[in-house]
Order: sequence, then C-alpha cells, then structure tokens
Amino acid sequence: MFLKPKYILFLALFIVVVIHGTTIFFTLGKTYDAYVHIFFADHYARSWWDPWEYRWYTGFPTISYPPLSHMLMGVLSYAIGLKIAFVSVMLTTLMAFVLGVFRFSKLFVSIPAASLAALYAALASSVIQTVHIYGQLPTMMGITALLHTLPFIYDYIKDGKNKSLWLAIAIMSVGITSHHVTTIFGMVFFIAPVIATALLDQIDLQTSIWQTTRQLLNKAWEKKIPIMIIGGMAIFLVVFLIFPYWYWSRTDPISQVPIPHGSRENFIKRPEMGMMFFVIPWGLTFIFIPYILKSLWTRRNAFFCLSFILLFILGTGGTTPIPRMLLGDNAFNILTLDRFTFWASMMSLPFVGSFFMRLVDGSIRTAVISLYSQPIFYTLSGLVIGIYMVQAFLLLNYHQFKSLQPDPINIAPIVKFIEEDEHYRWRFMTLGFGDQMAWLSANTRGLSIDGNYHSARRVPEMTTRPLERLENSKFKGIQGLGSLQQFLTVSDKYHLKYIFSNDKFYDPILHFTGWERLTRLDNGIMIWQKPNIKPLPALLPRNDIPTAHKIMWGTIPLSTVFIMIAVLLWYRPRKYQKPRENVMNDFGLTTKRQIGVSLTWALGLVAIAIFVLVKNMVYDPQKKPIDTIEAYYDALNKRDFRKAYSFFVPGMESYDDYSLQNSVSDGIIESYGSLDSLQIDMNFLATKAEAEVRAYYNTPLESYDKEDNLLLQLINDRWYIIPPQFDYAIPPDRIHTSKSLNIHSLGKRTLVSDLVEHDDIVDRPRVKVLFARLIKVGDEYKVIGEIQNIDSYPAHITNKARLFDKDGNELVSYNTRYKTKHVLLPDQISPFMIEFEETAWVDYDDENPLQFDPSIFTPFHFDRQPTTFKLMVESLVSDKNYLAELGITNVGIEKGNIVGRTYNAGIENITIPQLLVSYYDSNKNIIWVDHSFLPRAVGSQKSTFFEVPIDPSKLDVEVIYSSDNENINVNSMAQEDYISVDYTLDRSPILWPLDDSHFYSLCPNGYIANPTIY
Amino acid sequence: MKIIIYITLAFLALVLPTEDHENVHLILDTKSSPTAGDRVTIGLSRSFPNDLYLIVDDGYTLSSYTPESGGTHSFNIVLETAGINRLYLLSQEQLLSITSIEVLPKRASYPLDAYLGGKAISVGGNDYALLTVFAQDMYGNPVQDSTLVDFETLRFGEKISTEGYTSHGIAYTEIRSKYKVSQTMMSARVDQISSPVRLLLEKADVPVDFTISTSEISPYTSSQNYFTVKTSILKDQYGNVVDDGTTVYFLCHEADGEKRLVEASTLDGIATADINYAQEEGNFIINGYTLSGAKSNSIEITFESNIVSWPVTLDEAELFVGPVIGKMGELLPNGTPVIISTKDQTKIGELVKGIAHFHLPPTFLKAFTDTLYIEIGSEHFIKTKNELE
Repeated sequence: MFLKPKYILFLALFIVVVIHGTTIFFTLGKTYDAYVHIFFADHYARSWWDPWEYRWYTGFPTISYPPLSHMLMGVLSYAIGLKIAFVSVMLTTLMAFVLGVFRFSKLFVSIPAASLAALYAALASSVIQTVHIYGQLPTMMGITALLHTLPFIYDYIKDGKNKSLWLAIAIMSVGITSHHVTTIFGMVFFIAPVIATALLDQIDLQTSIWQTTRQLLNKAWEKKIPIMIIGGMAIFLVVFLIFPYWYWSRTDPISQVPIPHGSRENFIKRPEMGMMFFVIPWGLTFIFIPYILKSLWTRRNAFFCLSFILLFILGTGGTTPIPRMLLGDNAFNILTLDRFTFWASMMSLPFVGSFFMRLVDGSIRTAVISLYSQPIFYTLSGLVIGIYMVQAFLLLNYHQFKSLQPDPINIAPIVKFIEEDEHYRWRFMTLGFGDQMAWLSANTRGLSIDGNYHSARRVPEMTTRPLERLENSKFKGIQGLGSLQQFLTVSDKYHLKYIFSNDKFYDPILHFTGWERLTRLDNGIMIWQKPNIKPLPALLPRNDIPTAHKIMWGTIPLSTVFIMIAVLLWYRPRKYQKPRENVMNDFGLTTKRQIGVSLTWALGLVAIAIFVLVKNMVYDPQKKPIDTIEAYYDALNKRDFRKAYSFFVPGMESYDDYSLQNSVSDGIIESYGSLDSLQIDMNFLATKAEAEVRAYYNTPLESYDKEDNLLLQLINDRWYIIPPQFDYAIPPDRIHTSKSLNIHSLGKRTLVSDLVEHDDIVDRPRVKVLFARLIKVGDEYKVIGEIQNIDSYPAHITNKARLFDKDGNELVSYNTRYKTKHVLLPDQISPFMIEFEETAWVDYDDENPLQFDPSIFTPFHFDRQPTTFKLMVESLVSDKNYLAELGITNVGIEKGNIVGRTYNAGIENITIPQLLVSYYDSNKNIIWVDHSFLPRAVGSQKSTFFEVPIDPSKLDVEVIYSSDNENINVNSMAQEDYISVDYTLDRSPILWPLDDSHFYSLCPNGYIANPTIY
Repeated sequence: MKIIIYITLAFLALVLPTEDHENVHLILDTKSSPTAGDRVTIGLSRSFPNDLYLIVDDGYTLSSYTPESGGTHSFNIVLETAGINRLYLLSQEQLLSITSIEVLPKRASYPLDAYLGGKAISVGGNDYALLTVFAQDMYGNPVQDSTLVDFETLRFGEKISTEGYTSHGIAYTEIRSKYKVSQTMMSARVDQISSPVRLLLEKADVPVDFTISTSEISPYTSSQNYFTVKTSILKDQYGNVVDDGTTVYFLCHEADGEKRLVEASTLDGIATADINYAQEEGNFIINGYTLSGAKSNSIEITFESNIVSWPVTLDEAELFVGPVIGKMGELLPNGTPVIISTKDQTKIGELVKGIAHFHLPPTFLKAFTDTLYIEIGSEHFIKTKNELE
C-alpha cells in the first residue's frame, strides 16, 4: 500500500471534518428532516421531563420517536444553540460512522481494504444523501451504532467473552435509543448474518454443502447460549430502553392512512423517484454490484449475501411486486423502502474497499495491466476515482441543482409577531415554508395546527389523509388541497387564526374562505387572519403519560451514552485495531472473463446514462404538430414563455410584444392554473394544420377547460404555431380616478401590552339574516339564505349552521365556504349556502386521485335526518376586502345560461372575479345559491364575458325547514332580540325574473391579488 | 398551605365548642360595623398566655395577626374588605374563639369605571345604549347599595342629568337616540367622583328617496366609453346624511332588455358609478335603489347606433368582420368585442385595427348553414350564407 491504513483512516476523518463540516452549514436548512429533529431537540431543551408537545397538531407525545439524538442536541443547545448542536452531533456521528465502517469491514476484508472502505464511505452517495439531502441524524446514529456493535457480537459468538458481550450491549443500546428501526431491522439483516458468519468461521468450509450445513447446525446448537443471550438481550433492550414508546404505540394507536412515498413507486414509470431513491443512494457503488455479489458469493459470506440480495430487492420499491409480497401490504405501505437501499449500500462498503485496495495495489491492477495495458489501467482507475469525486461534488451541491425547499426564510419577524400582543393565544399555520416550518416552531411557543411529524398526529382531518403536511398541500392532490380547504373553512374548530403564507398559490383559497390579509412582514411573508376566532383555552387537552414513563424517557436514553463511554473506557477494546482471521483478500476478478463482465456492466450503465441524456438533448417536438402543441402547452404551464415563444412562426410577433402581453395577462388560469390534460383535434391542410385544443386546468379553486384554436404551419420540415391573439381592448381613459371608502381599525389606541381596553373594542356590526332554509337535494342537506349588513361599517361575517334531528340531537356543523360574500358593506346583501362536508377520503374504497380535483365534494353522511338548524352568525368590523368594484352589464338569458359581462369600474385589477347567483321562488324566498369563478381577470375599466348555466333541477328543491328569525343567533344573541331597529327591505330591484315562477339575482365578488394598499 | 389552614379551621369549627372555649371571647371596640380601612381594636374577655394569634378571613384571603406588644392581649387590625369578615382566635393550634364583623365600604373613589354598551346607535328614537357604572371604594369594594349616581349627557350643547342608584356597586342608564346624527358625550358621578367621558355615536337612519343625474353623454352607442351617474346627497327621513359606505344599486335596462347592475357606495352621502354606454340603439333607462326601499328618479337616454359600416367576408375558413367604421368615419376601437354565432356555435373575437378575424373550425362551418349572427359591441347584425358567397 502506498499509504498506511491508519493514515487513510485519518484522511477519512479529515474529509468528514473538512468537507462535511463545511458543507453542512449550507445544506442543513435545505434538507428534508434536519429541522424536524431540531424541533424535537428544542422540545427537550424546553421540557425535558414532559414528553407532551403542544406546538404541533393538537399536541402529540414525543415518546413516539427515539430521543437520544434529540436529547443530545437539546443539551448542547444551551451552550451553542440548536443549529450548531445539530452540526456538532452530526459530525461526531459521521466520524464515529467512518470508524464503524472500518471495524465492520474488517469482518470481511483486510485492514488496508477496510481503511479504504472507510475512506470511500466518507463521501459515499448514500451517506451524503442521508446527511445533506435528508438531514437524517437518527438514521446515521443508528447505523453507526450497529456497525460498531457487529464486530463485538461476532467476537462474543466466536469467543464467548463477556467483555465483547458488554461492549455489544452498550453500543447497541445507543443505537436503539437513537433509531430503533435500524436495530430492529438490523437484527434480521445484519446481526443474524454476523452470528452465522461467526459460526461458519469455526467450522470447516472446505467440505460439501450438506456437510457444511450439518456442521453449522451443530455449532449453532453448541453456541446456543451465546446466541440466545445476544438475541434475548437485543429484544430486551429494544423493548426496555424505549418502553414508553411501545406502551404508547399499543395503548394509543394512531390510525393514519398510508402516506404515499416515492420509495414505493415504480422507478421505471416514475424515473425521478428512481433517481432519488435508488440511483442516488447506490451511486458509484452500483458499478461494483458484480464485484460485490462475487465477493459475497462465498460460503463464509453466504448469509450476508442473502441479506444483501433481500435488501437490494426491497430497495427497488414498487418497481416489481416482490417487495410488497415480501413485506405484506401493511408494512409495504408504512415503510419507506429507500432505507433498504441505504443498508444494502452499507453492506457493500467492505467489498468496495477491497476492490479499491486491489485496484491500487493488488491483483486487479496486475490483471488489468497484463490483460490490457497500463494506459487502460490508469484510464479506468482515473475514471472510477473521477466519478467518485464528481458524484460527491454534485451531491454535496445537490440543492444548487434541485431545490427541495423554498428559499430560506428569516423567521425573526414571524417569531416577533407571534410573541407580541399575545398572538400565541391562537394557533397558526404556515403555507409554502417547507420544512422551515419546523425551524419556526422550534423558535416560538406559538402553536401550529400543522406539523412535520405525521406519525403521532391525532387530528382527524389529517390522519384520514395521505398527507404529510398541510403547508405543502398543493403537491398532494385532492387529499392535500381538499384537506386544506376544510381546515380553512372550519378554522374556528382548532382556534386557527393566523396563516403565514410564503406561496401566493394559496391566496385565492384563503380569500374565498373568508380569510383576510393582515400585513406583510419584513421577510416578505404575508400574514392572513380569520376574524371571529376565539383564543385557545388556558388549559389544553393532553394525553396523560405515566410518571414512571416520563422518568424512564428522561433518564434512560442519555444514560446509554454515558454507560457506553464507561464500558468502552473500562474495556479499552484496542485489540480491534488488529487484523482478523478468516477474512479474504482476494475475491476474484482477475481473469479476462471476470474483468470483461465487470467492464461490460460498468460501461453498460454509463452507456444507458449517456443514451438517456442524448435522447433528451436531440428530441425535437416540432417534427410532429401534436408534439409541438403539447410542448407549447407544457412550456406555458411551466411559465417558460421564452420556450413557448420558440414554437411560434419566426418573425410573426416579437418576443418583446409577446412577453409584454403575457405580463399583463392575469386570472385564475394564468396565475394559479396547472395543466392537467389536453384534448387535441387536428385537421391537416397540406403545409398547414389547425387544432382545436381543449386544455383542462386545475386551480386552487376549481377545474377549468379552455378551448383554443391554433393554426400551425410547416416551415423547413418543422411545425410552428401562428401566435394567438391577445386582449387588445383599450380602456377609454389614460388616467382613471376612483373615489373609495377607506377604513382603518386601530384596535388598541394605547400601546400597552395589556389586553384591549373596553373602550377600544368596537361594536360588532349589526347584521340580519333575512331568511334561511334547510333544503334537501338528493342525499345532501344544505342551509341557504341571505344576510344583510344593516350597520354603518363594513362587516366581516362568519356564518355557521348546526343541524339537529327531530329529538334535538346535534348532527353536524359547518361554515360557509365559497358560496357567500364574507365582507359586506353597509346595506349590502349576500346569499349564502352552507354545505356539510364529510372529512374526505375516510373510506379506503374511495377513489383516490393523486391529482387535485377541486370539483369533488364529499357530502356528509347523515345517519339520522336533520329536521332543523341553528344558524350562528358573528360579525366584526372589517377594514379589508370590500373594495372589489365589479359591476355586471349586458345580462340576459341565452340558451339556458345567464350570460353577460363583468365590468371593473375601480382602479384595481380584479384577479379572480366571482359571481354568486341566487334563485328565488315565486314568493321571492331563496331556493338555491350557485357560484362561478370567472377564469379571466378583469382589469381596470375592462370587462369580461361570463356564462353561468342554469340547472333547472335546483329550482325544485325539497325544503325541510325555513326561518326568518327563529333559531338564528347573531353575535351570540337571538336575532329577534338583537335587532331592535325596525328595518324595511325592498329587494325587488335586484331580483330579476328567470321564468314565470322564479327569480334570480347576481352578486359580484372578487379577489384582488395585488392590491395597491399592500 | 391555605387549603390546609381552611380545612383545619373548618374542622375545628365543627368539632370544638367555640362559644365558651376556655371562656375567652373576642371583644370589639366598636358596636357598629367599621368602614373599610378603619383601624379596629379587638380585645379578649380575659387574659391568656402568650402565643395567641388572630386569623381574619375576608372571603378572599386569610390574614394573620399577633397581639399588640406590651402584653395587652388585644389586636389592632385594619380591615379593608367590605362584607362579613370572620375572625378566628387561636393559640397553639387550638381554636379559642370565633366571631364575625361586618365591614362597610368606603365612599366611591377613582377610577370610576363607566362602560358604554353599544357605542353607536341609529337615530329615530328606537335604538338605545346603556351607560353602566361600576363604583368602588379605594379598596376595590363595591359602594353601598342605593348610592346615588348622577348621569350627565351632553348633546348639541344641551346638558341632561339623570339619577340612578347602585345595586351591588352597579348603576346604569339608558340613552335613547334622537333624530339628528351627533356625538353624545356622557359621564357619571358618584360621591363627587367622576367617570371618564364616554362617547356615543348616533348614526343616520336608512335613506329616503333620492335623485340621480348623469354626466354629459354622447348620443351614440359605444362598447368602450362610459359615463358617470351620481346620486343626490342621500339623507334619512330626519335630514341626516347617510353613513359613508351605504350601498346604492344602479339598475340599467337596455333597449333589447339586457340588464346591468352596478353597485356604488356613498361618500358624504353621494354615490357615484361609471356606467358603460349603451351598446344597442334605443332607449337606455337608469334607476337607483337602496335595499332599504329608497329609490331614485328614472333617467332615460336615447342612443343611436355608432356603426355605419361593417362588411363581412368569408374566405374558405377565414372570416373577417370589418373594417367596422363609426359615425365620424373612425375605425371602432381595438378590443371592441365581436361575437359571431350560429344556432349552436359561438366564437368570440375582438376588433384589431377595425377588423375582427376568425378562423372557423370545421364544426363551425358545418353549423353555418343559413344565418350568421354578428354582435359588434353589443349591436346585433345578421348575414346569411348567400350574402357571403
């Protein structure tokens, strides 16, 4: 060897400190899980002895996750802060990991090879991914402890010395309290094979397979006591050390529906998942698979070989049915299968080290040079080492190429907001924060209804959904946005008052479910608030955790570290620096055939990678018109207007004009839409083609289909699109003036930290429910009605209906969602419809689309028939959201539709116009409410067409109960007592005849995405 | 600790003979009830060994006292909480005697809390608000029941005084609205102590009928231009200008029956709205309404068509409407909507440089068997297939 093993080991440790130590500061905040573990650490720093954490969901026990890594960080955080504590524990773990790989590798290979395995492990792709992409500190601690434990188990089985047993137990204990899953699976995939290997090393392997088997069984019987002790101790430790965890999981089981994970996907159908959960963790090691298999394919390593093959197959996720068959449906749907690939890569390390040793200074080098030539040897060696370096460089900088998290958010202004003026008395939620929501939680005492640890949550709206977090719900289809919509609608149930939004995608949902923008913080985060939310009670419900369990949880995990250190100091296992017997130094790969097979495998992999790259590079969608259209819409969907422009006939329109037109195009499709599918009908005319394209879009609010007629032209054997026309309407004025009412509610007039003085509390505006009805349509029940602001100030209205059966039992309650105007000016009327929604996707049999379909509604299932309702209306003076100056013109009825145009008379661009359409019977009592979000924005002094289909079946609904005063509560008082002023109402001017016996009215509403005042 | 003392005292009170225990009685220095804050001397009916102590339970807290120095065997205490105070004499954890003393509140003291329930009411005499006073002495005790409270209201320079009496420290008065929008200042006075001034707003009642007028209007239809319609100052039946933000609906009828609804809010009683010109020649009618029943006069404007030329050409699948020319020989503005339709097919376009261009897909051409309906702005025209061929 050109370098002594101990120097190579030092080099590996040096790499850990220098490369990981510097990089982790930049990657920590961008990983998937680092902040989650930091949050847990913060919990222990704040409350060591009480495992109940109030800050996420409606509270959850931290005994649901092994605590050692979190506790170590928590202790260190007092001195160096949470982030540095994470870095310190991670780096210490990585250094121990490198040594662990060295010790583990010595079970199979020589010391030089083991040292090279440690060096390789320092920058192995699976390790970089686990540390810098996943931020999985407990996993690293778990595997580190396991790798250190295995040699002692081997020695104990082989020699039976108590010293080895105590060392194994001490180190295994640390692994269990760090990451018990690693130890539990490790018992099958690592500990059992190492016991078998220890037995095999004590018998003669140079006999027949039957003879060897017989000897092995005899030896196992002979060593039954040590084997039982190891097995028994492992099981005992797993149960005892984290007993509160097992007790909790048995006594307080969580019925969380399986959450989809990329590692369970078919990697061929979803190559991006294959890349993340298979290709990256294997990385360069995949090239060595033939060599690894060849090395494991010996009698001594037979059990590890079996284990490796199993791990490899399980790591392929849903690509084949085998992992599901092996694990069963239940385990398959719960486990993240990339961990098997990670463990397989760990098992590979000794043999990769062996390969490099023989490549640098051994038989492979000699064989390649003698079979081919020295230049080829150097080329191949350089190539392998080069790929290793480039792979490490790329993965360490992974976040530069693919962003897993939103840009870093300065949380200080949010923390300040939560702390000031007692805003922590309500729950909050983040949107678009990614895992930084955990970092925010770690820095505040504020309570979030969301969380980043789905294993222990108890909120039914979440446990019934395959949804990790609400805050990234837009990526989770109907389960995500559907769940978010419900939370936003019935936010009073969870005292959810504030939302910190870092993603404008959610703004329309927030607006139309009655939330209002409060302010934009210095860090760009918009705060939304829901009026009329009561503060959290002083005492929050919690699950009682036995005192004995609290004491166990607070003492045992950390003590395992001290015990391990004491045992290590006591026994000083220095002899483990010495080489072992029975290890092999040559696993073949010296014949021309063996080298040929390996080269073919490696070059084949490289060729596949190059083929995929080149195919993508040379693909030209403009060879076919349909491909051209699909590529054009794909570019539009990705807002890549430069690329979309490249599909236009050259010279027909300048990019500047196109870009300018795009910059002023607005609306729910343009700004919030996501292309779902295309339906294209082509008609060819020689060198031209015309296409009727129906594009289906999903938006946060509704689904839309938009029809476009495109003309394509064939020029130089490539198809180009003739640029579509934009909106050329010219507003009449260059300067438009508008008078508007401006209101600002001061709240506290004296700036003190005390509660708002009575004199500063403004009256709740008087609102009146004009009429309300409980109706039945099919199996669905709805409460509809009209509400009017009869006060002098704009009123924000919260409207909740509770349904009762004939015996007075409450059945369900729900709030208005989209079918109302949440803020009413003085004298204004809004219709409302309250629809009672089930917590969607509670049944496994439900159709379960991954794509969000906003039109899907899951009606509440009534066991008993509702006969009456109580309407609970609350109002607050609003100084926001009342400025949409939207008029309606040219209204008429054509072909069964209400058609017309909306006209924006104000100075703000109304991004999403909404029309509420109410239908009335001959007595002018409301019978149905419909609504429509118009797809195009209406600019100042501009208009846009609308067309609302009339559904005749809705004009003949079954009325269960009607009321104009009874069972209507306004601001906690019966309406008949509350409204002390005589008030006459004349709605006749705004009710227009629909047919001989019905009327309709239109109530325009709108969302302004970029109001001037914010 | 407090709970233990309570339990001990309660237990002792139940099981021990208290009246004649050791023949020791507590003797008050005053026959009548003392006032909160007064010093009270409590003597013993006979001398008793040292280590006596007195516990006073005022219903909220427990206080412990030791005898005056000098072996007088008397206690000199100050009672601050009004109501019944229970006194327990103890020695070496033995209850020697129990007695009660009623403490009266002092006169009212600053701050005198006054709360206004309903800070804004409507004029007209039906609506009202309550001014409630909570009078306390300097120790926080509610003043004696039936203490006189003087309420004063100041409205338009007119000062009105009314009287009330406390019950459990609380007194209130009802202030009914009058007929003019105003601010009423109000305060209360108890024992020469005045409360802070509270402000009651009286808001206007619902508006009565009003008038509307328009800005100058050109008599030609247009899909682009608009005119302004504004109301007179909206007032209630008492002549008060209605509140800012009151919603006024302007309802317009076009000659072809199409409707428009434009909402506007009042500022200083006047609501203003921009209304697009009529797009169909004929009479255009505007009315104003509020939902509380107020309505305006009706304005009727006659519009003439502005379109004098609108050629239509069909070249295979390409249909051109225009150049569309107006009264002054001008091309109609860019963006003027143009809708072409057959019985079941519709296409929407707009004028660019006076011309609307439509590429008609086969489905449209197939549906175009006889008549093509054309809408420019909102004016309706018809072309037959024969005319286009």
